[in-house]
Amino acid sequence: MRLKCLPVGGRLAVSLFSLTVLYALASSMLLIIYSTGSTAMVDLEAVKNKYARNMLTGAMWGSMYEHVTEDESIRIVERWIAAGKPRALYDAEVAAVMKEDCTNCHSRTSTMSRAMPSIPLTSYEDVVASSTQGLPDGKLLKGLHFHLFGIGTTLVALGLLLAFSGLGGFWKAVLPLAGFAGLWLDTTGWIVGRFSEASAYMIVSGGALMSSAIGAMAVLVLLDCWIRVPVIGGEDDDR
Amino acid sequence: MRLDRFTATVVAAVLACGAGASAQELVSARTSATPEIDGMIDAAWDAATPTAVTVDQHPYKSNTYDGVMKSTVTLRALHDDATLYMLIQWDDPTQSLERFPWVKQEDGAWKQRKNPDDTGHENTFYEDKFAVLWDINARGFAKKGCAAACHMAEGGMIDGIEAKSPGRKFTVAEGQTIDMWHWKSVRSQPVGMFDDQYIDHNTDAAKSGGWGRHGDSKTGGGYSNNVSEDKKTPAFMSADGSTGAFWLAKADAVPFSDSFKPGDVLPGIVVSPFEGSRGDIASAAVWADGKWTVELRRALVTGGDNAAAQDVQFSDLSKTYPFGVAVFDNAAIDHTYHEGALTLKFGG
Repeated sequence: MRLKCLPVGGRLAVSLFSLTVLYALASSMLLIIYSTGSTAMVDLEAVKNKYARNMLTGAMWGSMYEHVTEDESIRIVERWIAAGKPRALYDAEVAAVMKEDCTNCHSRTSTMSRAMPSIPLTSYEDVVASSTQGLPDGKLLKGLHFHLFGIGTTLVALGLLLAFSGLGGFWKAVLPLAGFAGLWLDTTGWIVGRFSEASAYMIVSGGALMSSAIGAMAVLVLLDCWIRVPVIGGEDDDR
Repeated sequence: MRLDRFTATVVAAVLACGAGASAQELVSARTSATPEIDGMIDAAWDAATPTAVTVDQHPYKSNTYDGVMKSTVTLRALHDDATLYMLIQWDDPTQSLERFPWVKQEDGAWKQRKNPDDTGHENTFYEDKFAVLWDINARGFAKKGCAAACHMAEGGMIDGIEAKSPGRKFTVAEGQTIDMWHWKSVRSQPVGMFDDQYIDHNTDAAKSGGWGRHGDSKTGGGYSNNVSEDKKTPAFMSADGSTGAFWLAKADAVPFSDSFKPGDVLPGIVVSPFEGSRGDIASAAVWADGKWTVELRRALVTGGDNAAAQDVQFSDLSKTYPFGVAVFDNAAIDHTYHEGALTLKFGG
């Protein structure tokens, strides 16, 4: 059984699935760039700001930087966090920074185009809740289950399709393995980000490995539906 | 990641273009050919390089606003030894001039047309406006632009003060001010001027209903609502008794005397040229084909009362001057703006 042996309708469905995966991959790249506020594909500082530093100051240094009046405003918040987030220091210094740079959009009643009522920063309790080290619990768990279920399922589907391609046996084993290894490395990095900035290396390398494997599998499956993919990495038994 | 580097590169380039909007620069060209301020683009403007700015942000979504949500503003600037000239164009599919007109009713009563939104602000019977805000010495303006002076209410309060408006303009500390060139299609353009205003740190509504927004010092002139003391009729009418206009020149105004028929329309505003610093900016405007074209002329350095605090002074042409722009489409306070600051630089 080979992909090329499928009727045209079947090959069309597999091809559209592969194209959909590539489309999703491109949009995820866009999301990474958009959410980190960096136009560089691999910006370690941006990744640290997003996943492995304090969420509040990470955003202020990263994607929200253009809205911050001056760097000293971020350092005020950093000193407050380092001091254990005391209420008195919040009232004395941090509240003014939030009001000056954040709460126009980050309030429950904001009406602005970029309103973020789901992440309010208008009270001490709000700011404490948004100043966690690494991804906050809800966001972490939501991201983990989406990625593990979604990407895991995609990897299985691509791996199975690849198994019915004319590609050499070596790559049929290595590419799915690389995809799953990248997925685990990436998502585990999110958890480690709660404790260490070094997790940024796990996230970047895991993401790169996973994306490369998914992209490669999708392209190879797509090609194998219609043309003969060159045999690399070992002979295909069925050729 | 390498597999999709092309995609990433394209995406990064697109985003970089978008991000660049907050750091856009307008370069004023030195000219010896004085543009005529008539709302027409004459040959003098050929020397000016246009800068296009996308405005697509709003402070709130009114229940009565149906104006532009996004517009492109094109700016050009020229200067000579003493004067700055600007040519401003923006997309606005409708020309809006019908600002609170009086209409005589069938029963003989007069009614001013209004349709305030759920914040009490008008978006139906109003006028088109345009604002240019210039940093004088406001903290944060050079990086954040107009946002440095924008304060949104939280739970109906700003700084512990009741604030029904979705947003208020004021600077964060005493002594910090922003120059505000406010073009108004009905209240200022008919007299060939911008309304030259400024923003300070005031939050006391008793001192100023506009909180930090104030008109520059003036010695006379200006506009006033055409409303009688009992608020039931216009206070003035045109000397020739004409109807249908949306503003009334003060020089042509006589006390209202009702010999009109139902359906007749009288202006809701009486206008006259600002005298003093508030009239520093001369302008002319034309609306055609879904686009406003406004030309302005202002001295590089102004004098008059409180000029240092109320007016940006282009006294050093080697410096860059941060500013921001906003489009008001038939709206009292809702406006379409951009994030970040633009900068004006003077070329040789």
